[in-house]
Amino acid sequence: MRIKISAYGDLKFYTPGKTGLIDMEFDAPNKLSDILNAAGIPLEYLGPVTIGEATASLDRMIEDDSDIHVYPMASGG
Amino acid sequence: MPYGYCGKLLRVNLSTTEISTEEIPEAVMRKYLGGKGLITYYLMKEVDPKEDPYSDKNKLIFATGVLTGVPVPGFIRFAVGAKAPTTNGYGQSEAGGFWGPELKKAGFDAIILEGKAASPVYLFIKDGTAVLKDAFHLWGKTTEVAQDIIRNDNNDQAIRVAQIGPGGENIVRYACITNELKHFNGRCGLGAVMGSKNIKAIAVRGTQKIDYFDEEKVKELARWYNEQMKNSPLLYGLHNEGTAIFVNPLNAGGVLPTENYRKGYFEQAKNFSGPTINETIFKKREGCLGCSVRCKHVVEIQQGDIKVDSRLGGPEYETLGAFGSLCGVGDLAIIAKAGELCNKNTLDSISTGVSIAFAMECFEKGLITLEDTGGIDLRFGNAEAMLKTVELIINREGIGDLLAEGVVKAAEKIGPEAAQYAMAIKGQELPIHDPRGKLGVGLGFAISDTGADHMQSMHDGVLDKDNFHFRAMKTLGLEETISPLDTSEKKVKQFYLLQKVWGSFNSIGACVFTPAPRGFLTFDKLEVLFNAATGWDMSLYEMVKATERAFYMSRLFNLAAGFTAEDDRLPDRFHQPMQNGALEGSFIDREAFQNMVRMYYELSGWDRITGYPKKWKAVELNIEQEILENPVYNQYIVQ
Repeated sequence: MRIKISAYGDLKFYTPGKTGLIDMEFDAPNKLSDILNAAGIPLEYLGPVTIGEATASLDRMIEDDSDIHVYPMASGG
Repeated sequence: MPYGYCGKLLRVNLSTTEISTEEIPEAVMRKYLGGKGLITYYLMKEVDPKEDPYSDKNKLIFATGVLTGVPVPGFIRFAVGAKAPTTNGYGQSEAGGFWGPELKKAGFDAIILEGKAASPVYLFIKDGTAVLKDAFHLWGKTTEVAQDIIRNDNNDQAIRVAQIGPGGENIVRYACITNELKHFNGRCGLGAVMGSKNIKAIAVRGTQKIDYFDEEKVKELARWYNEQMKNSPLLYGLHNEGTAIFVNPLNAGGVLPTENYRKGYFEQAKNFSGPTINETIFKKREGCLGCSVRCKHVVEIQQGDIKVDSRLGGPEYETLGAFGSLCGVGDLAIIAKAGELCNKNTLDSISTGVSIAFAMECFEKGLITLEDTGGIDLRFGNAEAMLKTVELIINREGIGDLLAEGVVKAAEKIGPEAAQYAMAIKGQELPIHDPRGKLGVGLGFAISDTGADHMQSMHDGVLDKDNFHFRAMKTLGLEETISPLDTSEKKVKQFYLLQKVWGSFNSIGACVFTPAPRGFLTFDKLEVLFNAATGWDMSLYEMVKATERAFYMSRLFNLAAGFTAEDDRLPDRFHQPMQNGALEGSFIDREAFQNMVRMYYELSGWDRITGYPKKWKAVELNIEQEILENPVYNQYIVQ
């Protein structure tokens, strides 16, 4: 199962070369939160997560190849 | 000898041209901290709350904070205050940049402008001296032109200029003040007050050194901060994308205000998001004086029909949202151009965008027609129409003359049906945030002393997990993380504490991005910095109490100006379901929200129903006897 993660804002800091992109392979379905943990994305700084155009819960099981978008918590100003 | 500040106020009577210097006693500076606090102190003493904002009896107060100019990133801000044109009540707005520290280096903490000049003038301040100069040749000039002329006329390219452009001169009700062309006291219409007084600019040159009690300690903290900046993710996004960083997460979370706040998701938001700007029109990264965060992203467009001048900076999040999703526009070049026009003509881009979105919805509902718009097809999504309307507002031409008064006054003229589309609180247009997804921000909108304001406190979404931001706030008594959608008393307490922290920053002259809870400088380090700069023994508790004092006083000012508890409310739209996005169907329960407002009153020491401040709180906060005995105010103080 191929997982592509696009990280935005502060979360880019945690991606290789701060590119905002992570590509990972998983042998079996995994919970979204476990996938993000494995990718090194700190959940305590995580805002909305979307798969496709829809918001995804961290409890969601990811069973297929997926494009996951992770956003930082947004303050404003 | 004062450390960190000057202890001097410059008073300029524009009617008589008399200029004088007054001492600001240490006791006053310590009690009010500068900025918002000092403005509130002088406004309460010197301006009748019922005065017309454009009267020569209104006063325009510029005040630095006690820490403005301290060489640690973010300590550069200053505030401007007056009776506000937007709300007809208490007005105050802060800006970063370079002008505040320059004023201090010129020997002054604050300036009070009173009266009205007979013809256009500008004030030139240099190292303890001040003179009014003719500004007839500057009137009508956009800001980048006027700044060049002022610097050339005085043979000094290092002069810092705070000024208004034609929007302020034309007394657009929400005109703002800019310094260094890119930094804005954006809200409350203070640029219109400046225009009403016929003062184009305050040009400042200061070469004096600001003394600190323990200069080595101040430098040590500055070095520490800059080291943190190199290695921490905390401010990485702001550095990398500027405030445009907020576009994508707010859209994904369903709280990017779209089509005059009826929706929370905009399909074309990616077009004006941080990453897209970086890949397209980004030119360079800039910052305020001495700041390593450098969140100011300058843009430039040289090709094609739309040109955008990089001297005027670049669109911040609020500008992107106001001219983008709020108007249904996804054309980045036109959004950037609308921002540039606001910047060089000194219009508040928030109020401008909200006013146009309001007109677009009125147009859609048939409340205004092509005849009213002068033939402009003012549909949501019509980028060219949006841009044309910005120009009309600047010059108060056609439909622009109506919209230059803001949405509440425009709705009064259009007719009763238009009121439901006027997204404002206490007369001030809403910032580009949807409270249906952040109840703390909504509470801030409703109870703000300056009308709808997104800078009342840190936004709730950042404090719903056990992270650095939350842990920083534990010092003040936050015990658990709270959902942005929570409406409980715990949520109100969270907001109350955050508001006092950010309010303190408005007084001392700090940017909200650099100290905790947003940035690295935790409260213990902030106390160390404060005391190293001033030599005082200031605690966070004393800072928070100073802020509570300012809010208590501004509440009295607003009550005396005619506001009541009825004005501490959200527009009806937020009690109706969101039309799309991740929060589709969400709305704010009226009763739950009313209870939040009442709980806020109680935490503030105000009456739960009327919102009148209580006497015991005045005693606790050492409110000035002069205020307590003034019948204008004491009729609103209850047992």
